Amino acid sequence: MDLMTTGEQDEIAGTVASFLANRLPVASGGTTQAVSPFEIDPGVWQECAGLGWLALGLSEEAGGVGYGLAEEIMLFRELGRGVAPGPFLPGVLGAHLAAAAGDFGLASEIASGETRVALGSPIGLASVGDTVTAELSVVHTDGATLVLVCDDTASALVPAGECDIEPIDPVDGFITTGRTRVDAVASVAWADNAKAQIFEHGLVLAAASAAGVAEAAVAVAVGYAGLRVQFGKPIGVNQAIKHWCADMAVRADGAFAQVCYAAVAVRDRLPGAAVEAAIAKYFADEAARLNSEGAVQIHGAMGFTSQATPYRFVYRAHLLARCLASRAGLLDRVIGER
Amino acid sequence: MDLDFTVEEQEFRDEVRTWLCEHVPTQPRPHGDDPDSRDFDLGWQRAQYDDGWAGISWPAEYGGRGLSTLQQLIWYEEYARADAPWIGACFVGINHGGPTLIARAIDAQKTFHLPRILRGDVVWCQGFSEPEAGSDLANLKTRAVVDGNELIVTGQKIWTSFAHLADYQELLVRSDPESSRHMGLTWVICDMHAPGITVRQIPTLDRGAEFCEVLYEEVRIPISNVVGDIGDGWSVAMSTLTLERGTGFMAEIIHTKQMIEALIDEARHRTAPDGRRPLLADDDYARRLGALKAEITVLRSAAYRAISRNRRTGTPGPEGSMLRLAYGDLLQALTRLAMDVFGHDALAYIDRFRNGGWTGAWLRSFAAGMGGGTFEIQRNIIGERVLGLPRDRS
Ligand SMILES: Cc1cc2nc3c(=O)[nH]c(=O)nc-3n(C[C@H](O)[C@H](O)[C@H](O)COP(=O)(O)OP(=O)(O)OC[C@H]3O[C@@H](n4cnc5c(N)ncnc54)[C@H](O)[C@@H]3O)c2cc1C
Repeated sequence: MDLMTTGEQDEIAGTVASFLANRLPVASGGTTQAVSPFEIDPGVWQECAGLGWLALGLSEEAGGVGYGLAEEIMLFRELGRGVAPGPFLPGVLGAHLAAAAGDFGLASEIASGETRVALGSPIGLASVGDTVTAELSVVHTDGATLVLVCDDTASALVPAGECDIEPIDPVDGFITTGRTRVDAVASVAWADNAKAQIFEHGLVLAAASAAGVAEAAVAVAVGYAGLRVQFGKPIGVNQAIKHWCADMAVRADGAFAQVCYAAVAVRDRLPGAAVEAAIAKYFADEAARLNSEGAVQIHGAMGFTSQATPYRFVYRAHLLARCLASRAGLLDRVIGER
Repeated sequence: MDLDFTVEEQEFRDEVRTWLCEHVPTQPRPHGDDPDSRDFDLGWQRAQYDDGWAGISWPAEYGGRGLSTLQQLIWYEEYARADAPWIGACFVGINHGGPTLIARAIDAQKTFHLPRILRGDVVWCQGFSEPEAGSDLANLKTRAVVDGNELIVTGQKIWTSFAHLADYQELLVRSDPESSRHMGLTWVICDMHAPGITVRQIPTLDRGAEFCEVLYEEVRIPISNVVGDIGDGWSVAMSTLTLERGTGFMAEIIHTKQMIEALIDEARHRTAPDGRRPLLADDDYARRLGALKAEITVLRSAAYRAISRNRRTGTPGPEGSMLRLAYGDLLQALTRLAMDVFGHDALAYIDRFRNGGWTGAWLRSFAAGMGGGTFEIQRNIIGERVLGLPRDRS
């Protein structure tokens, strides 16, 4: 048993973090929306794909790097810390799904970044299989030609052109978002969840990003608490601030620990893996929300601006909590039959 | 990153499980904190020792098994799974005094005391806190005067668990009257049967009687009982505190997982407020239980990661305070929720060692925010030593 990261995993994280810092720095400076017409600059997107980010966990047979979920969580944690834009989550999951469905050609098209995938989270009852019927909340719509729909029964890729996605003005203005209802749209590829486990896989990756948001929010809050002076002392001297930071740190630590546990459980198909994954998503979402709220409050009025970074964490936590499965649905999974 | 155990470790787990299954006492621990409790605690310690299960990670030369951290983890997991008894009056000897001796004592002290602790011959207690020195331990005033080859101790300790049943005490005293704060303290082994010691019990909120006040009137202690050097007591006392705050209470963490599963099961078999459905069919109860199960599961993962980290670095760091804080918080949340689940049945007091002893466990849980450093002190430690926030020097 070893839940610490390996040197190789730390290296992946380091590479991703420095790329993001250089090429996709956390946007602030007075904007609540992406400044370019794209959710992510197409050139940068291609560079990320060229670095193999969408293919990390894909088998070599399917044209991937051949790592696993434990390496993928390092990527998604950094994407969360850096509140990065870009359809990484549906891209990685879509490539896995295509490979599981035996369509290696589609898997490598997605993994190479050429074919972009949006994420469709079903609202209420859905039917997912060789056709899809569902009401969908869709994120990362920009440039997507496919939509990944997934729940705990099955996952499917459907053509975005047939989904008639109605764009909405999203709270997280850095992520293009929409809403649609699809009725018996034929899937391009699909797989049973019992076989491919795309749903649990997705919960763990989304949880890794939320854990990253929670960690970055603590780091920013602690940094500010040590610098900002009032009453002649750094505000971090006061226990109301210090203890809030301590609670945030405990939460962030737990969130990533559970992501590690769930990643191994899903990867190795251990008994109880589905519940571990649901717990990872539930807890990381809560941690991201509470820590982003804390980061705003600790910054005072500065936290209410779109010039400091805390608002980015609030936006992203809000978005992630609505991807794949939300609080009540996750808790129902934790309890199981009742 | 993996959750695998080696074949050797799995065999060890099987062995532990079988032994515990056959030897865990069938009678509950007596709650009275009286001589019967002492006999029970020492008897169980002795049973473990006789079959080679005492001191899993203690060095073999002092009667321990000298096994790995992971084997220790396996022992704790199985211990919790088997619902084995609370360590009770053996706590300080096994989890605090003993480890301190291993870390800091000279050979003669170790060879005399460690086997006695492991065999369940003796009870140890901890004499640190005083009326004026709680969270601010460095404010302690009980004084020791050197007289030839003896220390003469006069003063008062309080909240000393099991002092009335103890044979020895790890006693922290001020040996230099000119000193203040962390300087001039000495850590010494005190014979609790020595003349000049008076012990008075203090009843507790959970109907226990482990708390004591200990008065020292010119108690003579041989200088050969000093561990470390005279004046170096603070560093000796701190050498095991991180252990107490870190993974040293792994069994308790795992046990909360057992408790939440039991509570969920209880909710399956009780009736919802509408009188028509199982309590667990009520969304409010189900989700509160689910959220708590999630948080307790996360604590398990955090503890696994802390153990993995300790194995790499070799020493438990201040991060142990994060586990301690989360554990105390969750134990309180868990037993509080149990009071809701049990409804009117929770009017009945049942001590925590008996079957269904949830009210006793709830009352006991108030202590989880105090012992080993209060919640507030743990948060200070996390803020200052883990996150590097500035200290308040006023
Ligand atoms: C079940 C149990 C068993 C114990 N067993 C032993 C034992 O065997 N031997 C022994 O020596 N001691 C023992 N203790 C005592 C324990 O170590 C003390 O309770 C603890 O150190 C706190 O001290 P105090 O009780 O005097 O509280 P205080 O220090 O008086 O604290 C009172 C309140 O003020 C808060 N507070 C204090 N200082 C600060 C600060 N700087 N910032 C913010 N808040 C602060 C505390 O968090 C607490 O809420 C035991 C305690 C319990 C509950």
